[in-house]
Amino acid sequence: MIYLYFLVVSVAIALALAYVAIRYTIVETERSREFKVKVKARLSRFVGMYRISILLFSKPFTYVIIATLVLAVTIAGFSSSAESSYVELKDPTLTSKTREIYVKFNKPVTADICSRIKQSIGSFNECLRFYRITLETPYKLLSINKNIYCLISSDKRFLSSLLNVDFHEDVYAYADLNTATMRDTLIYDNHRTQINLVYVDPAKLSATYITYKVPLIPIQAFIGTEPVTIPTRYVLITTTENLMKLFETHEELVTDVLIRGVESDQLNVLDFYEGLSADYDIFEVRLIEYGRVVIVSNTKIPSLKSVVVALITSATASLITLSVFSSAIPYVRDLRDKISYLGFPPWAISIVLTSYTATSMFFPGVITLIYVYLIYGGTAAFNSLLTLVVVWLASTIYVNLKARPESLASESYIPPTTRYTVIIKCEDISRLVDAIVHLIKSNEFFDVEEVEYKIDSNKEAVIHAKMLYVDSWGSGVDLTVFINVEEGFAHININTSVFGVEEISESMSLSINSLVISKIVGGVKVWESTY
Amino acid sequence: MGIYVLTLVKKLIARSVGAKTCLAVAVNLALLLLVSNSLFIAFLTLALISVASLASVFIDFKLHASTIYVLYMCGSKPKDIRLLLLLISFVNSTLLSIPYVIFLDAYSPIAFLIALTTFFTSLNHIYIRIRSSASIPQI
Repeated sequence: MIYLYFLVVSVAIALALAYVAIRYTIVETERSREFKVKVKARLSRFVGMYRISILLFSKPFTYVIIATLVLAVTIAGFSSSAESSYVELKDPTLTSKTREIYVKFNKPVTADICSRIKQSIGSFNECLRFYRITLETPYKLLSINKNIYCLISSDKRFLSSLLNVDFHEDVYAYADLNTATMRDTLIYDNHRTQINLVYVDPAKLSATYITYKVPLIPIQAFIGTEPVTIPTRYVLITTTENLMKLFETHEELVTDVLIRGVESDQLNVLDFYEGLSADYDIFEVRLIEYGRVVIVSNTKIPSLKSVVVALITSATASLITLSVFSSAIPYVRDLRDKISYLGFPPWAISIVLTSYTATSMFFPGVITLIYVYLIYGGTAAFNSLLTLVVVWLASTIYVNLKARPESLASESYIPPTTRYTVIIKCEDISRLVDAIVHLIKSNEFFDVEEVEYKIDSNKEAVIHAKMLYVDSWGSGVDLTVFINVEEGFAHININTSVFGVEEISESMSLSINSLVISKIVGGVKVWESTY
Repeated sequence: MGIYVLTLVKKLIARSVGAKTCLAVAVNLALLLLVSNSLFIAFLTLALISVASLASVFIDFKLHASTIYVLYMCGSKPKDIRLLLLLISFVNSTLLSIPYVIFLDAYSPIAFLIALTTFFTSLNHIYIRIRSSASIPQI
């Protein structure tokens, strides 16, 4: 019965949802149609811009640009060189007169490393070997049910003095114990071994260093410049002999070496690093001596020469590409004007040019960059990337600046006014005509060549005058004034036509018009007030 | 044209942007060869010289085209026009191959020949196009 109930409810909900979906679709159909039209219109604009960039792409200068960029990126990549990271620190707290060398390996090496180092640096007092390994599959302490993720082993005497623990046979130092000592079973890779655990203070363990800023517990990560080590509860420490016994092996493996009491005072750390790295996979080498520390690591950084080559190549390529673009600028400006007439917005040309430079420069450049990376490695790719970015940015900025549309805000052209209408109170048209004729004749800026007028039925009149401008030879104005008097008001229409024997400048034409019109308009207004 | 060829070459070189570009590219190439004198780099820069020559012709396309057109319409002989083009190519190629003369002397003839060939072929191509498309006024 309950199943039937759920079935009915489910079907009802499904039908309700279907009904809502259908209603929604019907309502939204009109909107979606409108949306489609809008999207299509906008899309057509982008398609247009894309086609224009393809048009640019098909021009022959594009191939010169591509060839330049590919060559420049390859040159920059090939001429790159990297050097090992070399850091020298001054530290006045280092007051020991003895000299130490610390070597950290990426992969464990055999114990004969000490004799190999002796060949390089000459005699020394002591060679301490460490085996510090982070486990992927944790070991387990059975009784106390603890996981171990890190194993550390070294010389018995050194560890005893460092941690104040007496390392007998099968003794392991461990920080997460409630008792001073206890016996437990260590489980690893289906092996079970009885070991003796000895408590070691976690704070002391964390603060124990092999040498200058190298903690005994391996560094897991860095927060800023501060190293973060593996938590002490996961770390088990013992002597090399105990560890060899645990693994049932006679071969000692070493991950770190500390050479104490180096006698050579002319030691070149970089040469030592490079000599040793020919045979071993080294992470870093440290030389610690009075007042200073030198650290050489396997982190490769581009050399100064390499960066200089990349910059010169960038300059050469930029020079060639910018020269080619400068020759193409008239064509690009013409294209800009044409697409502007087609109704494209002013920023369309910027998008066209940016997409053009991206297509013609960035894509071939990136393909070459990938090739350089695969063939010559990361440092070469860095050089190539530097060149690519410099050339591409320089070209894109240059082309966009040169082809930028002019500012839309400009001084608008104001044509000289050739018509003016003024309405004044007037009953007698003949007196008005006399006044205007007087104004024309008394204009001090013009020599009146001729004045004629005609009055029709005391309602309409026309005055025509030809006036020569006194300040300029051969230029003047042809003036026509129409007057229409109705119901006590006179409509005065003033028309002017400036002429000149030679071409008249815009400013002079404007001046002549203004002088004629203002004299009549001002005169009739004064006449009205005194009428 | 005779002696006027040299005057024309002088004026064209002085007015052209391509020659200045060649000089700037040559300075950059000299720096590049000074810093890195690997054999592969030398080969790549030879290719770059070819591209730079082509770019120089592109830059001065209008100048060269109008000069050739005017000379052609004035009735200059083809060998005179080609001599003019050869001299322009010679000057620009010399500019481009200077870095090789200084730093990689063995490669300087190759660099010069590459630049000269590219320049002259491109300019001659412009001349051929003008000759085939220009209409000669009938007297």
